[in-house]
Amino acid sequence: MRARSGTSTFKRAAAVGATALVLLAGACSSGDSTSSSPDGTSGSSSSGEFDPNATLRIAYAAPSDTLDPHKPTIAVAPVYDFPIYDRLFDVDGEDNIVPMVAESSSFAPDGTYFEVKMREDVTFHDGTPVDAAAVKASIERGKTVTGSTVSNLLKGITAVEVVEPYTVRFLLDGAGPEVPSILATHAGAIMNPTVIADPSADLARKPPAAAGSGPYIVEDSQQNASVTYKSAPTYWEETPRVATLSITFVPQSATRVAGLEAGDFDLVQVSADAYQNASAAAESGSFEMLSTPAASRDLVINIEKGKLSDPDVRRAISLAVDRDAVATVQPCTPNSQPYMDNHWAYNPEITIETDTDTARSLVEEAGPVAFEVAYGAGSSYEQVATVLQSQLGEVGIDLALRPVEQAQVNQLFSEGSVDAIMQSIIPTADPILMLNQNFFGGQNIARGPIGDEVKALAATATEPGMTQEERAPIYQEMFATIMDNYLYIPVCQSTQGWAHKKDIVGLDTMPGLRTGTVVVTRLGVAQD
Amino acid sequence: VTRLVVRRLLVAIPLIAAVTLGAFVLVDQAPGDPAVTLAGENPDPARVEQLREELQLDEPVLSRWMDWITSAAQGDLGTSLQTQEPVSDVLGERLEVTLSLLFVTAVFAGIIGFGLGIVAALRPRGVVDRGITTVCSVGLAAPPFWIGLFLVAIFAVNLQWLPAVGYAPISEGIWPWLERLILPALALAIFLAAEIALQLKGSLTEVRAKDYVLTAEAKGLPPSKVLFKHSLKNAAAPVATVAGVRLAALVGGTATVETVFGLRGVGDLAVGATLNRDVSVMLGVLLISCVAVQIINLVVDISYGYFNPKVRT
Repeated sequence: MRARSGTSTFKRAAAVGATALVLLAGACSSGDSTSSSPDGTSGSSSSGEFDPNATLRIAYAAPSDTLDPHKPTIAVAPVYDFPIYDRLFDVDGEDNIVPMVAESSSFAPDGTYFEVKMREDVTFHDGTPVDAAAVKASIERGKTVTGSTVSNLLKGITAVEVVEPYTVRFLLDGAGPEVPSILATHAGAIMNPTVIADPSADLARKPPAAAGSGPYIVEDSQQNASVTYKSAPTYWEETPRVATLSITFVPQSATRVAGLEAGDFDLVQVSADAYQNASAAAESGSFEMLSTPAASRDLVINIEKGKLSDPDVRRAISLAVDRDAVATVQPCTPNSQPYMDNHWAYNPEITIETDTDTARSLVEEAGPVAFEVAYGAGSSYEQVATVLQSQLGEVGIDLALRPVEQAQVNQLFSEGSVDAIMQSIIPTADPILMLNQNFFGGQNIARGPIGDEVKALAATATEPGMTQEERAPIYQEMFATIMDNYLYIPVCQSTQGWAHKKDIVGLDTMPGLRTGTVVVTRLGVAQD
Repeated sequence: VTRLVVRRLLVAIPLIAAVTLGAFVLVDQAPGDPAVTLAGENPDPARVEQLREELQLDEPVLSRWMDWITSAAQGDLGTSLQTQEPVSDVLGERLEVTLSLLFVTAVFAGIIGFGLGIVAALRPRGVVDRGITTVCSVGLAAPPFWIGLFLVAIFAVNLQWLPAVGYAPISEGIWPWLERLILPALALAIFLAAEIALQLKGSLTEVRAKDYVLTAEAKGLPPSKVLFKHSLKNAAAPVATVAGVRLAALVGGTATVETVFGLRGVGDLAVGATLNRDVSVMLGVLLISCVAVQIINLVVDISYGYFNPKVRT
């Protein structure tokens, strides 16, 4: 697939120049995943016939450290694990939780358990049925296996019971309506009990074909480098599939784009550092690019630290941030809350404004304000933090920058060692997971009396038996409380690109586009 | 030669010990907690504590280093903290890529460097010499990753003659293996070739003015024989020294080029291990690099004996 496109000499020369600049920019920047697009359009088709004999080669910005769904240390397990393992529930392209192996489900009236009736036509690739016993074995493994990184996520499920061969019951303590969304993550991957019991099975590197019931089987994998899958001989769900799927970790965004242009890849993730040049190359006709919102850029502050405990100071910080100016240095759009307007928890009444005069007078009333922000050294947050330092400086706030190792950022904030951090509050399909991770547990953004108020609201939204329609206004009120009290300062929503050849099917409905942790199992290649 | 090898080995042992101890101290003093890094995103505190115990982070750094060096001396480089795989296995997977890259780089650098150096020395201070000197100066000034980016833009993206990314093992065939190494090897080789060319031009020009060369030419020996038999061999000793030093430096310099070309080699492994605080793998890479540099130095020392028989006595 190394055919040359028919662009003019001039366009080709321009493309070479642009590519060189892209590559240069990429070589000087980090390999994280964010970006944007001019028009947000893509030429990818989402319907039509697909080629079952095709090969799809994807270049992705993060590696697979393990294919064991219970032990990943990097939050991209869905990318690499979902081709292998099915779950009871899935997330669709609109971030809705939808049944996968589940047929129907219900909560106990008192909320003590969650029961799922399963499909009976799903089997692992050795013919073993995917039944309640397999679910029980899988969840119990996730909770107890040495080195599990999902035990925290599963702690609200105290036990799993096999009610009938295809009916499984999850006994709950502290978990509620979010359970289906937990089971839709890699923590809910259904593994073959016979493989779990086999000590010789290499679940980290080369899971046996029988390990899962997903659409693909691992053919080869190189840790932190690439995974190659082949299509499973049979799969219960009719979905576009290719004969061979490979996902290769290429850290540099510009290298990924060059790989696409050179014919080494069919689909590549385009991060912020290479986004604008890749957009220009896409416009020249070398490839197409789908642009999607990606991780947010948020200033998360410890509201119990010094003058940051003053709501007026936090308001001044928010008013001082010129989000449009940030968007000129990094592809992103201003945002006002964790969720976007396509999610049921989004509150349309929350707005955010820039008013440096008011910010300046608030700071004058509060006296000298100085605080420190930590962020991943060399990450794309660094650029935003530098802009914020300048903008806050204009209203009299002294912001000190503290670049640290990315993995240490959350730890420093959780233990109270820094005043603030730059990070992404990643919206999960069910808000309670995001709240538990960022606002209550983990980082504990919601501190003090305001935090208690937010927690109380969240608790009312997780009562057993509540529907999504009943929960939505509670979360909307809760996000209004969070934003009215400036528990964190949203800056902007970065934009990401997926550069691809024209014949990729299903890209624009690919789950996980919003977070970058995409699910590639429904991608295919169109028939000629 | 045997005495030389033994002497080199005796020097290498304390050198490796000192380098690895330095690495231990640096990692220990770096800010942050390796256990947090290894525990993944939003980890369970109990998991962090468990990792801290496994990593023996409460033990003095000297004690941890002693444990590691003792095991390493017995051939056990430990297990990767991130993947729980033996470090020797992890290194083994990546070594083929880097060795292949260095081999092709050395071949390219040798061909280009010797070719340009000889041509320049045949007409010193002529137009060709000045042109080659200018090109070599650019080659010395341009960092390999920068050259690599332009090679990709021209030969992979625009002309689409060669792939831009990845590696194919030699088991898949010579051409699939070579075609993915040409651009990264060229990117690395240009600096080395420029160094060889300039060094060779200088020493060859000097040798060609010696009495024994002039005598050989006066006696009517064919110019090729004078050049290759009498001049080049004597001019090559200083070139071998420079080439050896630069090639040794490239062992550590492959990381940037491997990153640009998406090659999963030892350099790329070192970058990943450092970011992930995988000390075992970092030390394994360090050990391999030390050994490689020692081997290159040894080969250079032995080559002196070939180029200059007086050294052998």
